[in-house]
Amino acid sequence: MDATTKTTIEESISPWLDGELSSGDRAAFEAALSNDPALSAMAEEFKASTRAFAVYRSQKIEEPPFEEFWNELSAKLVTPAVPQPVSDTGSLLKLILDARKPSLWERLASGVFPALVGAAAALAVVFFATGRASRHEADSSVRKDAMQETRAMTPPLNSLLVKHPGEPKTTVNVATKPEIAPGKIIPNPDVANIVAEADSCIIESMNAEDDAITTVFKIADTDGSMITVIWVPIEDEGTSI
Amino acid sequence: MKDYHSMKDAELIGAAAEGDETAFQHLVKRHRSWAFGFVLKTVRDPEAAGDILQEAFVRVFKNLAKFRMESSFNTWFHRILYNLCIDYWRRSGRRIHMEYDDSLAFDGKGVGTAGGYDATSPERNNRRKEVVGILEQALDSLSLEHRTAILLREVEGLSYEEIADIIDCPKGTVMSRLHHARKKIVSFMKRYGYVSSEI
Repeated sequence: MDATTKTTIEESISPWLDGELSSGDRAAFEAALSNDPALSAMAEEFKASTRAFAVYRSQKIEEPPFEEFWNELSAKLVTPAVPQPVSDTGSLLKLILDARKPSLWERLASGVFPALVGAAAALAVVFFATGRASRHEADSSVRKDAMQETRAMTPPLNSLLVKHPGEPKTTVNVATKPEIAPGKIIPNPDVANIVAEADSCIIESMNAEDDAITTVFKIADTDGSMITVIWVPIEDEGTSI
Repeated sequence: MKDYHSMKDAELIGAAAEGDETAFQHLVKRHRSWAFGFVLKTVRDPEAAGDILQEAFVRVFKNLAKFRMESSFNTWFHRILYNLCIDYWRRSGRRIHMEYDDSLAFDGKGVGTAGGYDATSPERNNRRKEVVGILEQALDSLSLEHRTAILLREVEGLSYEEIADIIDCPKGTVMSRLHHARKKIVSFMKRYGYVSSEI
């Protein structure tokens, strides 16, 4: 038997042990095995190493508690572009997945829907006036009415608005792009052009659903009160922006 | 309410890709332990193994949408782990130089025979620890290619076809690597006096 043939036969030991030989090859190998004491000895040694691995496999491995592992992993899943903390109305995972898509603001900035932006700005003025009147009257029922009115005037947006429970909010549509950074205080925001007395706004939270992104932010008024603004997308013939 | 425990991997991945965070959490919970074991045995550094596992799940997460539902998550995840281990070894320039450890030498008391002594005895436990120690040293003496091939087969119990898929080579190469890995392990065990018939 030449060296090459010997090596080839020896290399059949592993697939034979591992049950990877076809029935024909197995029969041929076992015939060779019975006629070759050296090959048989090597096969026994290989079997011994496999038994040693059975011992090795049975070793218990210390690993960190799952909660600890998951918390660390969750933090890594949040890309820098994704805001935190996440709105209680939205899924962290969903936000991250949706963050891959072109943002609403990018699409707005591209000028694809300039007419809609203009319309949103007009709505903002109207709605803000309504909301501000409600606030000064300090009458929650009035604010509720204002919100209902807003909803009534913007029916495609309601599904997003109702996902923000909690204190009654004055809902205003504005055309200006807010910074996408919850908790960030923005001095002299563009929205202040609409709210003359405001000197800053705070992005409160974000929520994403399908292709739409809703941003909730607050405008700090000079009298110390806050107006909650919900930035919502406007649908155009079935297309969300 | 979804019964995540009864969902198959592909179903969990599909749900996670749709934004179901709990589904992804269950996927992580389901596969974390074995994956950690595999990585730890491969890189032999608990801290590095933890980091690699974290990165592996991040990669899974980022590629949820790319997963082919008809394929096995197990194989896919193994491939990610394998590639990360390779990266780690190359990046760290890790080279293990083995030295003979006298304390592991066989003393002629019949280590690990199939029968003939109390399976729960302290003596047997000590012998088992010794076998593990020698096996770990033997694994350290292997090249990364041989080491991962034998671990994927002996520890993970994967078929040659699955191993070939993970390490991206023909089945013949898997067979050859396993042969050389086993030969070297047997040689290492003989060196310590752990003759094959005594295991």
